Amino acid sequence: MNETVASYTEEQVAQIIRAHIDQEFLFRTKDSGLADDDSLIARGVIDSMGIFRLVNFLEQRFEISVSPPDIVMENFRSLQAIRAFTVTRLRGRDGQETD
Amino acid sequence: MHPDIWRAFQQLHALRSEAPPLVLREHIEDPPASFQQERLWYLDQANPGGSAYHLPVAFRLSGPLDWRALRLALEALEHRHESLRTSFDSSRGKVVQRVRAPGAFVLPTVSLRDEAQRPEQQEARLREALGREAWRPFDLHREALFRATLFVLGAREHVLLLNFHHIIYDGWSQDVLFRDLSELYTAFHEGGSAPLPELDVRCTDHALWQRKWLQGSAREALQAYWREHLKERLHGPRLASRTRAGNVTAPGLRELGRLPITLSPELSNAILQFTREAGATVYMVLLAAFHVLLHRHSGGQERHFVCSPIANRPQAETERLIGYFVNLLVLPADLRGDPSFQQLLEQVRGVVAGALAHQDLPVQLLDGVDLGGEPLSQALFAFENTPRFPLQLTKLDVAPVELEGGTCDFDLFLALHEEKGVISGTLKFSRQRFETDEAARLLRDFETILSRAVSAPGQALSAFLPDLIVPRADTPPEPITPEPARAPLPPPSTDVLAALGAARPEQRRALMRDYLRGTVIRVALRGQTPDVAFQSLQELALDSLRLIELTGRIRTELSIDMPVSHFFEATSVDVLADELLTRWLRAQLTEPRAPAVGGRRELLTL
Repeated sequence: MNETVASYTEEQVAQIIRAHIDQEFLFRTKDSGLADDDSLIARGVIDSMGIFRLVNFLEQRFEISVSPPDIVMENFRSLQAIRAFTVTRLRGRDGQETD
Repeated sequence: MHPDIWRAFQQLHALRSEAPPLVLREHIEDPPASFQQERLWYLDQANPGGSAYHLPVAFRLSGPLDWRALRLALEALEHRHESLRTSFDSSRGKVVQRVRAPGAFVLPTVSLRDEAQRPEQQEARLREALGREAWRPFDLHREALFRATLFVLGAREHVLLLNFHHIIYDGWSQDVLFRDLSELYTAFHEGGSAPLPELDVRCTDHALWQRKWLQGSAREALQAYWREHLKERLHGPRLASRTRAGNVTAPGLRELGRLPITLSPELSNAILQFTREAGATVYMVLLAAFHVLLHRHSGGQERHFVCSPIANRPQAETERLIGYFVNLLVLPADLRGDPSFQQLLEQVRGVVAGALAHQDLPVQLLDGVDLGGEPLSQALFAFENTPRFPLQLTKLDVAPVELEGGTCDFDLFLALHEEKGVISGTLKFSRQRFETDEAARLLRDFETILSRAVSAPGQALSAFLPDLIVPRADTPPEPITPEPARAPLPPPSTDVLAALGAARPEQRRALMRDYLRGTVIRVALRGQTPDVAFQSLQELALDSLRLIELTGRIRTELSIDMPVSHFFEATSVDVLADELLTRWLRAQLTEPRAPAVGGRRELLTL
C-alpha cells in the first residue's frame, strides 16, 4: 500500500482522489462516509458527466493520460477502482520516463 | 450504467483529445466572443434590454453582517473572474469581448428601514424593490453585466441581490460563485486577504480556443453527426393550452411563471431504484417521462423534440470559471406505435448518449437541420444530480429569497435536481402560453407518468394518461414531411466587409445580394434552401427569435445601423440587399471606418 509511484505513495493517491470527490461531488470538506468499495454510480455520487469531470481531473492532477478504452465501469466503479487505475497509469508513465 | 453511456464518454474523450490545448494568453487583441455568447449578443441586438437572459439570485442574511468583508469579497470576486468585468461590442463585423481592468467595487445599498412600518409593508416594499432591480435592463455594450445590491431591512437583517446577464454566467457558474464568495467573505471577515489561488485560464482564452478548435475537421465531424441524427424534420411539441399565443411573441413579452415540484421520497426512491435496474441515468428516466407528458398534452403528437442545456465545461480548468459555457442539446423523440416506457427509455438512452458525445457543437452551428422555422426553445428539460453548493457566510443565516417576475424565451422549462434521494425542481412557463392551473396540471400528470413508468414499464404509453389533451383547432397539426430537400451550405460570410471594400462598385450589388441570401439560408433557415424563389423575410414565416438572430448578425457583420422594422418591411430580399448597400455606402462616405453598432443604440429600437 505504501509503495511510492511517480513521487506519490498509493496512500496519497487515494487521499487526493477521495478529497476531490468529497469536495467536488459531495460538496463536503470533511469525510463523506463513502467507503472505498462503495459503488459511486449506484450511490448516485457520480452521474454521466461526472465521470468525465473525473477523467479530466485525473489527467490534470496526476499528469497521466487516459485513453478512451480506459473509460469503462471497471476503472470508475468505486474509490478503490479509481485509485488502482490511477496507480497503474502512474506506473506506466514512470516506466516510459525511465526507458 | 449501460455500455452505450460508457461508449459516449469514450467518443467524447476521443473527439476532445484532438482539440488544441487551452492556454492562458497574456494579451489578446479584441478577444472574440464564444459561439454561445455571440448568439445571445445577436438576440440582444434586436431586443435590447430584454430581461429573458437575466439570472438574478437573492438571499436574506440574518445576523451581524460585515459590510466591509462583503464589499471586499465582491471586489475580489470581480478581480478574479474576468467575465464579471466583461462587456461586448462589435468590431470589424465580429462580436468581441471588452474586459475592463479590475477596480474598486461599489456595493450599492438601498435602505428599506422605517421603524413606523409594519413588517408586511416592509416585505411588500422589498419585493417591489427586488423586482425592479432584478429586471432592470443590462447594456451589453458598456456596462458591467454583473451587479450586486444590498437591501437594508434592519441592523441584523439584509437582503443581497446578485444579478448576472446570461452572456457571462450560467447554472454551473452559480456553484463557482457561491463557493468563491463564501470563502472570500470568511477570509476578509477574519481579517485575512483573498485566499484563492490564481485561475489557470480565463473566459477569453476559452473563446479563442473554441474558435480555433471548431473549424475544419472537428466542426465537420460534429456537424455530420447532428445532420445524420436530426435528419427527419423536427417539430416542437404543440401543447394544448387555453391561451394559445404560439411562438410568435417576442421574447421580451413572455412573462415568466414558476411552479415548484417535489416528488415524494417514495416515488423518488422508486425512480432511483428503477434507473439502476434499467442501466440508465436518472436524467434519461425523467426525460423519457417528460417526453410522454408532452406527447399526451399535444393530442398524441408522435414526434417532437426537447432541448436540454448541458454544462459543457470541456476542461478541468474551465470548471472553476464564472462564464457562459452552456450548450443546448436537441433531443428528438419518436413515439410512433404506442411503445412501452421501457422501449421509449431505450430510445432516449441512445439519443442522449449520442448527444453527450457530440455536445461540443454550439446550436447555431447546426446546419442542414430542418426545424421548419421553429424556435429551439419551446420545451426545455434539465436535470442535475450534483448537490448545489450553498452560499455560506460566516455567522450569518443565509436563506434564498424567491424572485418574482421576469420574462423568458421558452414555452416550458422543467428543471429538476436530486438531493439526498429526493427529486424536486421548478417548472418555468410562459404566462402567454399557459395559465397557472394548466401548468399545475402538467406537473400532476408528470408525477402520474413517473409512478406508472416505474411500476409498469412494460405497459403501452397510451395507458399512462388515458385522457389525451388535444390542442384547440386554431393550431392545426402540421403534417410531418418526410425527407426535406437539402442544398449544400453557402460559405460563411464573415468577411463580407473586406469583400465589399475590395469589390468594384458595379460588383457590390451582386455581392450584397449573395451575402444576404447566403446569410438568410445559413442563419434563419439553418441551411435549408426554400423550395420557392426568395421572398421577403416576413413571408419566410420565421419565428421571432430566428429573425432577431438574423438581423442582429447582419447588422453586426456589416456594421450597419438599420431599424429591425426595415428588415421585415422590405418587399423582397433583393430590395433589402439594395437598402443595406445604400446604407453601407453612406457609412463609408461619412466615416472612414464603419462605426460599431454599439455606439448608436437609439437607432436599434423596433
